[in-house]
Amino acid sequence: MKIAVVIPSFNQGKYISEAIESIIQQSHPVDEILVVDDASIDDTCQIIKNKFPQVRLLINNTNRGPSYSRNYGIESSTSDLITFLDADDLWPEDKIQWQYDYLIQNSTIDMVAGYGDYFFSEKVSKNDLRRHYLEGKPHFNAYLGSFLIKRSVFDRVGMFDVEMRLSEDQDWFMRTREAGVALKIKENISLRKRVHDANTTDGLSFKNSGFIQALRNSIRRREEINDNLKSNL
Amino acid sequence: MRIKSKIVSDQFDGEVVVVSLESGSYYSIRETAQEIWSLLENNISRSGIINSFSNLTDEETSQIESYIDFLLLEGLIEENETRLESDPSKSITFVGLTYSKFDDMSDLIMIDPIHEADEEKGWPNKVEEDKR
Repeated sequence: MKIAVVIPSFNQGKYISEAIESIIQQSHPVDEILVVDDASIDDTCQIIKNKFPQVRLLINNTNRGPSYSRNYGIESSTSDLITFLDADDLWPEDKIQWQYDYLIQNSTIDMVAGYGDYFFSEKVSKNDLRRHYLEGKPHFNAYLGSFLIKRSVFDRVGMFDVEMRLSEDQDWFMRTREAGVALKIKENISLRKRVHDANTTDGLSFKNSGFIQALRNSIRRREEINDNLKSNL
Repeated sequence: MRIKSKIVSDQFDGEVVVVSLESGSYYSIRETAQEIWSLLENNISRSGIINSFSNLTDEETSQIESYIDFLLLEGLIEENETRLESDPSKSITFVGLTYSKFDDMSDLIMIDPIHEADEEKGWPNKVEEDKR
């Protein structure tokens, strides 16, 4: 089975080389690397063209957000297995190896995930609250970069919601739960999440993270299913 | 009464979604139950809530009492010392109490340590040295 990784990127020229290096250095190679540049105004595209001829670069003419960019990447790929990496994050060397082996050996599983582990740029103060809560505490969450997903899952639950710019990953993950997609979570670390001075969700409270909106969407969807069942009785 | 500190909610059109960062449960609250939640956000007392309605039947009063007891039992609200009464000029009409509880996302709500940060202030605040 072929594997594609989709990297949505908006002005991440500073970090994207490291992210791609961590893909190239995998002990089990991926077949397609797709970077979707979301109308960056930095040197992202130049870096990809100059340093990474094996990367397929897709470019949005205007800034469309992470959902649109990931969908574009998935639709442009031809692989059976899909995974993601944010341009400022990294994979541990064995991520694809163990996740691929697991899916090959367990054919009833639709997607496999590991733990995400945060690491900190030196610029982040030693007293920063994020260090206090996140450093050295790997855990599971709907971090797309920590998953390896069968393409058929997107046929079942749909693509990322382009209307959502925040918690679109949580929203998609909730849809996989509602649909009964078979997920295996293992405690192996499969994503290293960088905390720097400009993370997208920085400064956002739980309330403003879009997570409650995603919960509400999930409640609505299940109600619609119930209503349809009732009207069919 | 007041809403407890680890409780986060967001008001939408026709619904408030309430999340307990402590238990990982979340709630959909609608109709009259949503209006009562808004009164709780303003620290209105139990009797103040009952008095906010015009012409309640005994059955309706008892439904409201049960709803408030449910919120207390779920750890979403607590008694506080100040007993605020509601604005007497605003009278609420009882329509019906609609509320549901969900537990299926508790792993996501509770495990991610980012959610332990102050739910109003967000990141990144400085932690005080002595707490580390």
